[in-house]
Amino acid sequence: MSISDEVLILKFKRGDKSSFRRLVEKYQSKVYSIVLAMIGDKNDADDLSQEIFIKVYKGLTQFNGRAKFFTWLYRITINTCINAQNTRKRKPETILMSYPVGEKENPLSTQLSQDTVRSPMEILENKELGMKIKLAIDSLSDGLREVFILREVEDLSYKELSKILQCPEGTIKSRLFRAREEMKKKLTPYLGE
Amino acid sequence: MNLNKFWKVFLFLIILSLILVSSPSLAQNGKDILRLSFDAQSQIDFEGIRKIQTYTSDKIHSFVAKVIYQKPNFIYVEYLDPPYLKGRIIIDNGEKRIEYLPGIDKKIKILPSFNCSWIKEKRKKALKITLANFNISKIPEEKILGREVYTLSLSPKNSIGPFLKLWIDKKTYLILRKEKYNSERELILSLYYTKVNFNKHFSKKELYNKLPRIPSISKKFPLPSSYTLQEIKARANFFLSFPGYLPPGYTFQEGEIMAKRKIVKLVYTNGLEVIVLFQRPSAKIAMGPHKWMNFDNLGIRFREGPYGKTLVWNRKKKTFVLMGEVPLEELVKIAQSIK
Amino acid sequence: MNCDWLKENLSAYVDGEMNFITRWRIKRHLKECLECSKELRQLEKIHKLSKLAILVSPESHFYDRLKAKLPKVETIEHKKNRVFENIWIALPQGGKAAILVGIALILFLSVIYPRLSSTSLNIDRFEKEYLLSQETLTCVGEPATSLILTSE
Ligand SMILES: [Zn+2]
Repeated sequence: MSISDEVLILKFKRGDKSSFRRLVEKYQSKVYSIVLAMIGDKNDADDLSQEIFIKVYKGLTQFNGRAKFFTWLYRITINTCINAQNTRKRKPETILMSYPVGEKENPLSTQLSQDTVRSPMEILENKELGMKIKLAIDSLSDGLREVFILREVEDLSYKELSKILQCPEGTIKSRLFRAREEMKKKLTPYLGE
Repeated sequence: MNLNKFWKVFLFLIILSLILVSSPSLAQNGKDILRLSFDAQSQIDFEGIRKIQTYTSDKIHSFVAKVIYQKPNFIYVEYLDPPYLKGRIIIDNGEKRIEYLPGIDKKIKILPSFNCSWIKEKRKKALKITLANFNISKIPEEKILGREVYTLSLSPKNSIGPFLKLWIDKKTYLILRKEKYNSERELILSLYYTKVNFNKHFSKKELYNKLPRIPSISKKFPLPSSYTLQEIKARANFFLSFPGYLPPGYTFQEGEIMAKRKIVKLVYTNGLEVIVLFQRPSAKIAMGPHKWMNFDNLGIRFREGPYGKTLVWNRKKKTFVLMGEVPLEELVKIAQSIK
Repeated sequence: MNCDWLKENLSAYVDGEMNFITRWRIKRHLKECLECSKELRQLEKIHKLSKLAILVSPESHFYDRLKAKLPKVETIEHKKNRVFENIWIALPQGGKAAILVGIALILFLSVIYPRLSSTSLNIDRFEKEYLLSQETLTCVGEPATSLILTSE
């Protein structure tokens, strides 16, 4: 097992700056995934993720440890994303552009752009489906998107989600239900039976 | 009288039933078994731990991998040992192959599948050549990991080239064990499973999840430039040399043009193994530790790796690289015959 | 338990947010009701696929880029930089020139020179090509392929 967040934070407070690196490395993919799913633009997502960890770095000495670290981290993440959305216009079409469609299925001439980050599943299978899902997530109503993304990224319990998003558990439950209904509507032709 | 007839019929019936009982092993000859084993792995659900050891004159290399086959055409290989290969993952879904080695690969390599049509075609041709070049005999059957197997012995009809022993699962035709011997009958490679589990079905997605989400690159594969002898002569932009001698059993397989048309690669095969000859206009080739040999004014650098021997020499403003697993004398003979 | 109630609560069931008894009752219903179990499969599929679609890795060197932006608390690094700076200042002009020439030479030999003489090749590349040809005959990963070469 890896060292717990609590221990890393304690070490950080005592002056061991390398433990911050370990925290970043532990959470960078999840934070980045959440931000990318929320914002939709790769460059913005990278900047915002860095911004989030700078906030964490500055706040960590004051972090009291009564709440779980990841609850605090994800709250910062979501708030930063929502603020960013309010200040800049969202650009949903950029998602489309970063995931090329209709690529030739010729094993000899697999031409993939070098900087396209894609999951292994997309590479081999369900390429189109992967994109449809991203679009469906992207078009979730505000308020539903963040709870859905958080839940999928980190299998968090409703209790933890309610702490991060600062709303009652019942609200989490009904929002997740509604989010999935919306997803289902958009994806019905692809879910098969 | 009647009784005598009865005994005759009785005896006949007994012999007949004996033949019938033993017939599953008589029904197939070695060639058929080998043919069936050819595509076996693409038609089973299987998990196993596979160990491969290669023996060179001074070293033993050992590779352990977890192998998963899923019908149709899905292959997953994850290396467990040696440490520098640990975590190396190969996923082949019949269309594409992904290769990834953590810590070394910053990107995921995408290559054509080993089961894509042109590689399958190549293997099919190789199988034909194998059947023509080798005597295939069945030797007494054994059991491996509790399973019934056919045991085949492949020996070259001429004196060159490997001897092979194969243990092939009777039910699925998967090769469960393989031993390769050189012409001196020294063991040079052994492959076997330490664990097998048939009829196990996996979630492919879970296997994909073992790969990190990092960018992918498709490695350029020199395949579209696979040419016949006539084509390669016409297409090369420098004068090509060909060997006047090939070890018995070897025939031309294909030619390729690589490195911006600077290198020509000629591949010869006996069905089981290849001999490859590269040539290009004079160039320096860094080789690392090697030996030096001199034959009739032909200075040859030589080294032996875990999968074959390499010869490098210059002649008439050209540089040649020759590789193969045949005895050194054979390679030298080929080198000398190139005009 | 009726289908309408279940459909509204299936999402929470997928998330594992039900008490033991309710879970058991839902399971029993699912065994009998095709309609609801189809619904469940769809939800599970959405769950799995979304996870796969969302999770990605950040651009490379995430921490290194971050580190450059962090407020100046990384004390140890700073001290080291000072030490180097001090040595550099203390060096005579000749010493500085020698170091610069040295760096230029190393750069030339390691980066530029190998590119100038393009006819210098490494044998690894040929051996990899050979193994590729051998590999297509023996099928997937059987010899550990090209990696053996890079390791030695
Ligand atoms: Zn129902």
